[in-house]
Order: sequence, then C-alpha cells, then structure tokens
Amino acid sequence: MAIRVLVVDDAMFMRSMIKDILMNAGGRYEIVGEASNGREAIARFRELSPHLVTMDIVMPQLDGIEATREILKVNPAAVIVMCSAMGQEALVVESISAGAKDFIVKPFTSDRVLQVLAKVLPGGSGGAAAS
Amino acid sequence: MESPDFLELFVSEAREHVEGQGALLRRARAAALGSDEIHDLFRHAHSIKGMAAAMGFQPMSVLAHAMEDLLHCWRDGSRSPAPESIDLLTRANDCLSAQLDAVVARIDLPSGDGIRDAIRALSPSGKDGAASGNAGAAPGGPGPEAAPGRSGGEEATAAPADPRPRLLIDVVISQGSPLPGARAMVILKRLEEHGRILEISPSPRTLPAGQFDGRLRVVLATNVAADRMEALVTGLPDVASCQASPCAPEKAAAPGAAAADPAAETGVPRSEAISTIRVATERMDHLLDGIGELILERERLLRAVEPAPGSETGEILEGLGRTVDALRDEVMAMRLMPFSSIVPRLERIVRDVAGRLGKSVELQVRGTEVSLDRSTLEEMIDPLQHILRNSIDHGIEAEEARRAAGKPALGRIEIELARRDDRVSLVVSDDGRGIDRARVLSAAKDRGLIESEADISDEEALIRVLARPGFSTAAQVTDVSGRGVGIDVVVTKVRALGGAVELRTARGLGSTFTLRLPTSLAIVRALVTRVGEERYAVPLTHVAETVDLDPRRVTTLEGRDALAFHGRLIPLVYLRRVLQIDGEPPTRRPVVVVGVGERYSGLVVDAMLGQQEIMVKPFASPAGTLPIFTGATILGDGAPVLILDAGGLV
Repeated sequence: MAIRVLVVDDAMFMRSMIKDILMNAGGRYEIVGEASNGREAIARFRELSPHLVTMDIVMPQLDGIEATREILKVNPAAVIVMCSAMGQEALVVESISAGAKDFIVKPFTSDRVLQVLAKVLPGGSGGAAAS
Repeated sequence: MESPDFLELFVSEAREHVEGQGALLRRARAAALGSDEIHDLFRHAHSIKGMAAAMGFQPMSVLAHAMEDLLHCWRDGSRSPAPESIDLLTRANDCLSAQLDAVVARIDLPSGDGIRDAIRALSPSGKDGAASGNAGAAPGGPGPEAAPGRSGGEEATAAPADPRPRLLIDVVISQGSPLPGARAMVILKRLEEHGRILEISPSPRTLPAGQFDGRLRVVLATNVAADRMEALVTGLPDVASCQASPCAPEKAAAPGAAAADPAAETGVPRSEAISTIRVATERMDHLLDGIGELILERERLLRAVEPAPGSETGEILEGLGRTVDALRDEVMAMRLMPFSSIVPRLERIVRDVAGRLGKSVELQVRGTEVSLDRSTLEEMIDPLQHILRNSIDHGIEAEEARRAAGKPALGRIEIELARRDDRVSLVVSDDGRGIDRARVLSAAKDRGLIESEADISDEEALIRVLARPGFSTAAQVTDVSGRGVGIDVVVTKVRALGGAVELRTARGLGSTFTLRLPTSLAIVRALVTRVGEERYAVPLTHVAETVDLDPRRVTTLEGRDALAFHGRLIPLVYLRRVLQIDGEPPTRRPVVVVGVGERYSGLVVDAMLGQQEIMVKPFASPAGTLPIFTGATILGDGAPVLILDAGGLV
C-alpha cells in the first residue's frame, strides 16, 4: 500500500515539485491532498488522515509550526516533515521541538527528499524499528 | 599525579569551577536561581570534589562534597536556597579558593571542616545525601518533561535516576549539511525514542543560533547496545559518523577515576574543548619573548641592510615587518584577560577583611569587561589588595560612626574600570572618612620621613609621603594593615608596570585612588633619546610631544625652571643633572613632554634618536639607583638601555 501524503505549501510551484518527486518514486507515495496555509492543512489532515505531511514553515494565516502543533494534538503519531529554506535554522529547530520528525531544505533534490522521507516513516530502514 | 603539569591543569580547572560557582552564588543573592543554574552549581561542586580527591587534596574534596550534598537538596527541591545556605556556600567557596591558593603556594591547605559541618547540619541526608536522594523516582523530578525540545533545552536533565546502562554517543554531522543545528535536534529527538537523554553537549539552546559546529555528544540511558545505536544514528541523513561507547554511571561517583579528564567525569566532554586549547601561561610568555626577539632582529636587520626605497630588499623587509607586527598584535590580544577574572578574588578579600574587622562593606565593580595583559592583571592583585585593605581598615568607619556621620551603615567600595586608547584607568573609591592629613603629617614627622615644614596639603605630596616605605599611621599594627606595607607597594608596583597612581581624598567623604595602566605591557613603542653617552627609552604612551628647548620660553615656577607649553607652565627636568652627567650640554636640546594623567613635565635630553619598538623587562630598581627607571630593554643594535619612568619624573 502506498504511503498517503499531504503536501502543504503556499507556493503552488513548490507543491508541484514535491508532488513530482514523490510521484516518480516507483509508486511508493500517493498524494492524497494539498493545502496552501496552516489552517487548511489542519482541516485536510483531519479529513484525510495521511501517513505523512510535508509542511512549509512560512505560510499565510497560520504558519507551519503552529499547524504542526495543532496536527499533533489531533494525532500525536502524525509524521510531519518540515520544508525549509536555508537560513531558517531557528524555525526548523522550533518545529522539531514542536514534534516534527525531520526537515528538508529548499531547493529540493529528489534524492535528498526521498532519503529523508524514507527515514521518518515507521518501517523505514533505521527508523524507530528498534524500539 | 605529582607531575607539575597535572597540578597546573588541576588548579586552572578548579579555579574555573570555583569562580563559576562564585558568580552563581552572587546571582542567587539577587534573584532566585533557575533549575539550570542550580544544576550548574551542583556540577561545579561535583567536579571540584572529584578533581581534588584525585589529586589527594582531601580538605578540598571533603568540603566540595558537603557543598554538593546541600546543592543536591536544592536541586531536588527538598530544601530551598535560603539566604543562610547561600551564605554558607559562599563561605565554603571562598574556602575552596583559599585552599587552591595554598595548593599553588605549596603549603598546607586550610581546613574547611567548620564550614563543612555547618553545611552538613543544613542538609538532612548528611554525607550520603546525593546517593540516597537519587534512589527513588523523585516526585516532580525530571520525567518525560526533560525532553530537550519541549523544555526549551537543558544542558543536562538532572538527577540520573534511570537504571538503564548509559551510552556516550558522539555524533559528527556531515560537513556542508544544510542547517546542522536542526539536524542535531532531529538526532536528539530520535535518540529520545530509544532511551532517556541525561546530558547533551553543546546545550540544545545553542542549536538554533547557527553556531553549532557539527559535533554532538549525548549521554543516553538506554537498553540499546552500543553497536546497534551506532548503526541507528549512522543511518540518519547527514550523519558523517557516530561512535557510541558504554559509560558507567559509577564513574562519576568514583573520584579517583575521573580527575585526569574532568570531561569524562561528567560523561560529557565540554564542547568548548573543540575550539579552545589550554596553554600554560608560561608558554605564552615564551612565545612573547620570542616575538620580542624577532622584533629586535628585524630592527637590527633594517639597520644593517639599509635598503634603498623601492628596492626588492626593502619590500621584503617591509613585508616581514608587517607579519611580525601582526604576530605581535595577535599574541598581545591572546594575553588580554578581562578584569572580571580577578573580581572574585577581590570580593573574597573584601569579605574576609571586613569580616575580620567586624565592618560591613560592599564592593561594586564596574567595567569588568575591560581587558588587561595577563601579567599586568596578576601583578595588580597585590596592589589592589593593599588599597582595599587600607580602605576597609582606615577608610570605612565602624557602623556606629557611619550612622553618626549620616552615612548608610553599609560601607561602599567601588572599582571602576575604563579604557582610553591603550591605557586603562582603574579607579578605586570608598565612602569612608578620607585620609587625615594632620595624622599623616605627624606620623611622618615622628618617623623622620619629612621635614616638619613639609606641606602635604596637596594630593601629590600626600601620596608621596604615604608611599614612603614603612609609612603607617596605624596606632597599633592590626592584623589587617598597618604593618607599614601599603601605599608604597601600590605605587612601586604600578610604576613598574608603566603606570601611575593618583590619590584624591576628602575629609569625611572618602578616598579615591586612580591607577592608570597600559593594557599591554611587554612590547611598547618608545622614543629613544641620548643623554651624555647613554641612551634612554621613554615609552610613547607617556609622551605628549617633543619640542626644542627654546630659552625664551623658559621661566621660573616655584624655584624650578618651567616651560611654556600650550598655554601652561610645565616643570623642566634636566636629565643631565638628574643623572649627574658632567660636561657641557649641546647648545640645541630637545624636550620630551611627558604626561601622566593631568600632570606634565618636560624631560630635557641631549638628542632624540628616533622611535623603536622595545620589549620591556620590568625590574625593581636596585637599592642605590635612581628611582626613575621602570625597566630595561635591548635595542636593535644589541645595546641595553634603561627605560625612563615618566610616572616618577612628572
């Protein structure tokens, strides 16, 4: 069964890039929904219960960090990966502290995105399998 | 353990802990400490205990152990940091500091048993407090809340009650990884899934700041085996390497085992170790000596070669000069230490002296960030100690007298530092009774130090009298001062360091000593002059100007020749006369105008030979020589010359 992904980013271009990368990963991922701000992301998450969320940090209405906190209240086991620009170290650290599992840094490369995502999911090599 | 290297390391490390502890205790007086700070206090005491035990300094380790026990009670909340326990710990810390001094002096350590017993009386669990307190799961102790992210980051998450084996995990993040600090945070979160993090280095607080250097060390209580943990972490993105090794919790409790490496003692190597190395101060001195020699050689080379302007040789020599200058500046900067590093010692002196005299005195230090050459700073401790003792003993009145004079019962001594160009002024003032001129006068007369007519109404004359070796007005020699060593030590020392001392005093209001010092001592630019056949150097820091001696501008002031200089009259000092050189002086003579503080005088020399960098070798003027030299140096041509003390001549 494919991993169901919710892609959150206010820029359609970035959403397209991530979708493109994930859809070319041999059927491992299925894009089940998109959101362009934090509020929408929370609503979509409730509605779709995806396995994985890619979350932009700086977004209008509700930023990615707050959205991450809200989503984790909905489901503490949610797997959220932050999408950050270079230079946003403090924001990323805050997101990780808030409960995001990992991060990817723009500009994305396919290998890099897939490498990070592979590690965050239960059953991914390395991952939390040992515990 | 007898190796002197070890001892040095021990002293410097232990001193850091004592000073760290002192700073935290001071803060504790002003405001309640946070749990991080209490933990730091505990860690300092713990480290001192272990190190001292390993070196065989029982009195220190026993005292530190008692402190640790009390701090453990603070930490687990079973006892709150009440003022009397803060006082007690402060006294204990002072005692540790005194014990360290004794270690350095290679004398018997003063006992801390009295303070230790007082501390033990406060901590109910007594000797084994730390151990027994840890055994159970302390309610309100660090639970899952200790997660580094959620709690905003704690360097070490307190009471190691986790029974699982510990791993020291050392992770290096790949060079060039984006956002390494965030990567470290991800790794920490991942590790938390496998156990409980006990300690983290560097502090997670530093991770968002973008200063993370890529190396993360964590002590984790976990059931995962070391090799399995390595594989887990190495599999994460951006991890260059990971080493996990078991670290025994007993290790920290066994003082003997860990002292050689204090880092190993706490399980967490200090992150600073990566970017900082510790060098014996002696080796810094050697380095500076070497650079001093290099500068001399360069001057000699310049003289010997006399390169034509624009020639290749000239260019090479110029390049060499720039490199040597840069090297010198670098070493000088390395030798600078903030004044704050000696503040704890001064505070201790004040507490100690005031305590012995039954006075209450508060010391305030401002401008502690001002830096001075390490050796200057060290040399200043002694003079400052004299000034402080004098202020407390003779200046600050007893409480009743202060009340009667309408002053607050608590006496105040202030030290204020300020930097101006390459000089530092150090102003020590007290709000005591001031210096009683009549008493100084009669004491000086009694001792035959001055003529009865001598007038000491002005401050300069007053300090000259006070600075006479052996001068004291103390009716009886107290334990604290009045032994006749005091201001003379201050003046001599400060002058030897190339500085000057001024005194202002007002009856009933207090006294102020102003010490002016060069920030860097060892290598200075100097004006080389000739008087008779000899050459003398005058450090440029004191030189205001050089002018020709124009007889038309010379008048007489209070029986001495004086020169009109920028609208004021400054006394002239004929060095031929001072140095007792016979013969006719040249007809045209230059005057070197030197100024110290607000005072100027003109040194009349035979000729000006130019400027040069000189390396000062301070010396105490041997008996029988004129007290107008601060040191000696070797010039570029290899000839030794004396350095004139501007402070002594103005």
